[in-house]
Amino acid sequence: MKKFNNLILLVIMTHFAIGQTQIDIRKTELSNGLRVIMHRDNTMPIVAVGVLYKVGSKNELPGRSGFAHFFEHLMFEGSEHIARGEFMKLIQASGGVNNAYTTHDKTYYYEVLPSNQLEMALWMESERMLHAKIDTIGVETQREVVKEEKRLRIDNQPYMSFQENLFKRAYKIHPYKSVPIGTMEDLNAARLEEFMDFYKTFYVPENAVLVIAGDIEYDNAEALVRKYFEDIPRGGRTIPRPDVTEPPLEGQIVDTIYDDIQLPAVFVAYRMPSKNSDDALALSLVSRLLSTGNSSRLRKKLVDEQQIALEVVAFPYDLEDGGLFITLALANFGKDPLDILNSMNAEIEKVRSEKISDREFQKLLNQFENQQISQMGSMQGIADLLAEYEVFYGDANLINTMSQKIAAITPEDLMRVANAYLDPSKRIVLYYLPKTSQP
Amino acid sequence: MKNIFHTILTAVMMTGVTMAQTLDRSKRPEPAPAREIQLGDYKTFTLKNGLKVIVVENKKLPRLSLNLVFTYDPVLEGERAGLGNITGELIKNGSTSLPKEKFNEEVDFIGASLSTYSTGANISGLSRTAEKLFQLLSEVVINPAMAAEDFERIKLNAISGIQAAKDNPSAIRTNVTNVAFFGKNHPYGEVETEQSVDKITLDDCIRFHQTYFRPNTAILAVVGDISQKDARKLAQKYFGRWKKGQVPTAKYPFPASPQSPVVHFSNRNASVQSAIHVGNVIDLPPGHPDAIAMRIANQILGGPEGRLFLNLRETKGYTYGAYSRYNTDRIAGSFYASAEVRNEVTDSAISEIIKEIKRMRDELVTEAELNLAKKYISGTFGLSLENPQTIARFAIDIERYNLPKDFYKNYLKALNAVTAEDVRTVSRKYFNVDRAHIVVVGKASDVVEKLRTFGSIQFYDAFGNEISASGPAVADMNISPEQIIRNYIAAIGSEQVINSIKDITTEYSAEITGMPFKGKFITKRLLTNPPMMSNELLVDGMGSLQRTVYNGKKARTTSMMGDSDIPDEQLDDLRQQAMLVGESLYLNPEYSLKLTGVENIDGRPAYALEVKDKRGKITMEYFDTETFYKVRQEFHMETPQGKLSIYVEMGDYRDVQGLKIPGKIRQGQGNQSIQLTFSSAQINSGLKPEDFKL
Repeated sequence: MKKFNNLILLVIMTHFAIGQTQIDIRKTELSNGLRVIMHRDNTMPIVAVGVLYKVGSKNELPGRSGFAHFFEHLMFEGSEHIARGEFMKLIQASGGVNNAYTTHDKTYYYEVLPSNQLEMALWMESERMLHAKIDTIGVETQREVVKEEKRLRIDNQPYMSFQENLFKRAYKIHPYKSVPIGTMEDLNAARLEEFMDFYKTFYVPENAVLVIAGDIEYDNAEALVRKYFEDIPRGGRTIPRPDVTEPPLEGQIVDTIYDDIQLPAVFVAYRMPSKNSDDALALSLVSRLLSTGNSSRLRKKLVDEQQIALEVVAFPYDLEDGGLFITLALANFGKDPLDILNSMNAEIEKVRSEKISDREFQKLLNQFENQQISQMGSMQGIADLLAEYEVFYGDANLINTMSQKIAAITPEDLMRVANAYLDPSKRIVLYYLPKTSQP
Repeated sequence: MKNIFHTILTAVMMTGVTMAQTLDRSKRPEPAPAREIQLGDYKTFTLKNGLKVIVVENKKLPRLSLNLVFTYDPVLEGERAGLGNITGELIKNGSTSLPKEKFNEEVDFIGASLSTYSTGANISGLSRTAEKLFQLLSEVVINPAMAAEDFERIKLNAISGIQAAKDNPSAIRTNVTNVAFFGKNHPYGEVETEQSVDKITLDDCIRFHQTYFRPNTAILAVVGDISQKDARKLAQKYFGRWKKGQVPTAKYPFPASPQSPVVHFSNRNASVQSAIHVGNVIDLPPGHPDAIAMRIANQILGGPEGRLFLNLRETKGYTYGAYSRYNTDRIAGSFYASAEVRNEVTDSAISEIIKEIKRMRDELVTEAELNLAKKYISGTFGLSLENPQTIARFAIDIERYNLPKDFYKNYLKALNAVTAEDVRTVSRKYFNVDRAHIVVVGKASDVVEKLRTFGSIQFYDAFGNEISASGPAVADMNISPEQIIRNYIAAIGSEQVINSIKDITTEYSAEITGMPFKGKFITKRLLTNPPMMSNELLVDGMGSLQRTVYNGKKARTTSMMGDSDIPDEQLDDLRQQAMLVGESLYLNPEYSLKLTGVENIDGRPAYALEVKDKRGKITMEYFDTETFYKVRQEFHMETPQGKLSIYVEMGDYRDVQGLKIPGKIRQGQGNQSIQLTFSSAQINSGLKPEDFKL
């Protein structure tokens, strides 16, 4: 039961659709508010089932960072009719695989199975939604597991505290100031009653989207969905969402983190608009321009020509209430992080002041299309996109219309958004330096 | 009116809901009838130069991938182990007609992704760029640029990787397993080392490429949205001019198994867990009639939630996971169970692993186990077909190993026909627990004695070199710790030599894991009372990176981050370092010494001495049992992330005017290390206290 919280990966996999490949969709809403999105593709006898709950770390209470992700772990502990440890076994016996992840904005659970096991997946997800088992044993077991996960994936990994360090500086009032994995202190503080309450508030049909993609017949699949989900009662509570607007950064924030590393690194983060905006889409092209492929600008300049960096990455960490545009570079041995920042600045400045050539622009579109088609290669990839588009972009059919949105972007737009958002006077600059150099 | 109507409608719907609540949720759904799994077809043709082309047409998405596989016999690389891997990486950097920069731009422009390795290369992208994909792949495979600067960079990275792996228990375990199972004179038993990679030249790579990257021993799988006709045309256009060559063939004797179990042990003092493999070589080529029953046997023994997992993790709590795996192979396959367990239970875990393997041989598996395994294997087999690459992989296997054309089409049928007896038969044939290799990487002083019950023990270093000194407890243990220190001092230099030295300057070249840069490390010591010292790390072309000066009273570090004074509690350490033989302080009563045993350090036995200072800080010091040279030091530093273990290794001692100093020093923590190699030393060059001003 691997449960990923791999935020970078998730964010790098920014999704957009392609022109030629039409994804057929049927949407239904049950009387309890559960939205159901189905995509029929009978090429292979495979089906992917996913449930997206619109709850992430941004819905956590102060002093309870890491709560939503911790809760995700509890959702594998069993239910009224599924014993502890049985979740995995049932999936295996069905010949399938499963997983889940939590971000700032959402929690997503999914299974991929032979299509004749669709009903099994629906039953299991309905058990999870209706009466998951949340008890002391589960909470105490998973508390340790989650802490081990944090040690393994964050604390023991060089540079990996960057998310926490960037977000807490980039946001002062919005709950994005904490990260989904949370802090040890807060993980220790979480109590059983709070989990029960969280379950009743957020894990309710009106706060979820169920997606099914693959070898189904619509009517039959819908009947099965109704069989298992229709009698799950609405939660009925008002679902709390952050309603604060984070004011823009007032200036540049520069800080140094001393870590167990040998090579310095530089992280630069700029605030982004909401991920469903056109500007966010244009920024995702800018990130590609900077660091996708060996011919991308930061890579060519800093890694090949100047040889001051071993590795460079730019990616939009895009979120519902506006995320961060992050660029980072790992210094070569003995290279001054200041030189790296200067070179990064120069490349950003170039994007702000010069229109990119048609060929380079076309390269970005081509890379985009490749990535989209890859994602359409798996039913799980399609299910994930449908849920994401429905919940955060308001329309699952964006999977078919995204190519038009991409086509509307111009080289001028890239310049415009770079000027609007990649402002050197409003950003976070973090230097990661070896502990041994700490004064 | 509308509202009333709506209410009625809702009421009706609510009733419907109430009726639906009679659903018995405790009843688990039965699967619907399974749809038959259809394996996509493929076509093959062969070019005049011998290149076999497989076309898997799949028009579902407008994409295409080309997978080129070389089927040459495995190569014994000998003292140049690593040659194939370096060559495979090198060819990715442009071609003779498309220099690296232009080549990279062209790959990126069409949004393609490319990878290359010692036995093949892949490229994938959009089907409308089919011609470009063929062209770019052919460029690097047939006429790679193989530039000297790329070669040097790749070689350095490879050496860094080997250095990093030296302290990684699972990498050590892989090395020892390969050597133990296959022997060093078998291509699968070769281990890459710094020395072997260092010996590789650009000419070697060019020759390797010319010899082995030939069409007559290659298969090209073309997968995606392309017609058979276009695939043929493009393959001919871009790969037709590729010249065939005389590719050497090789036969290797099948590795012998020991008559009774043998323990292969590699010591790693920092280990809190033992990394274990228990297994044997198997003669099971791909597509062999036993292969399918073997898949089930392995699933039941060591698959996810298999017997090993349930016993060692769920019942005994020895480990986070325990699994088994096997590889089918044309010249020699392997089977092994693996687990990482805490030191105390190493022997118990091995006993349980052996017990579970034996049970597979002695008893029939239950029907429930058999059925669960079949369901899982057939289910995931079906899921894997979602990716058209799977069909390509099957096709390559069929062509390469001459399997029946319908081998994979009949896979599920054959799987379902396997009986519990079949599982026991293959278990008896391939799980040779009575002649097993038991590989353990762990802390010798904690675990090794308890392993003798399993069989004779052979000792190895991290790279699978057998160690002649037969491990712990061969040296004289009656020696006192103080005597070891005195012997060490005497080994370093006579009293006369030591007393004659007034100052000493040493210079070492420095390399840091993963860094393609060289530097030097210069230490100056003035042997007054108190002594004075300066250390400086300089990087070629960049000057001083860090300098620490100790003037006998205070110390300061200067780096690009600015100056900082060294805290008082660290001054004692610096004073000791400043002395010519700082270990002589250990003979003072404020230190307590304990001889904890004899351990293998880099293939030789060494006394392990625990040194505790007046503040209770513990350092482990290791001295060669014959020469008494110091060979290793280990200590811990407290950091906010927990304890950090640091080690320093010294070796290759050399004589400088009667004084012995180490020619090689390596200091590391985790996967990071700095290696120093002796360049020069000057004695009594007239250093003055003014040279050590803060």
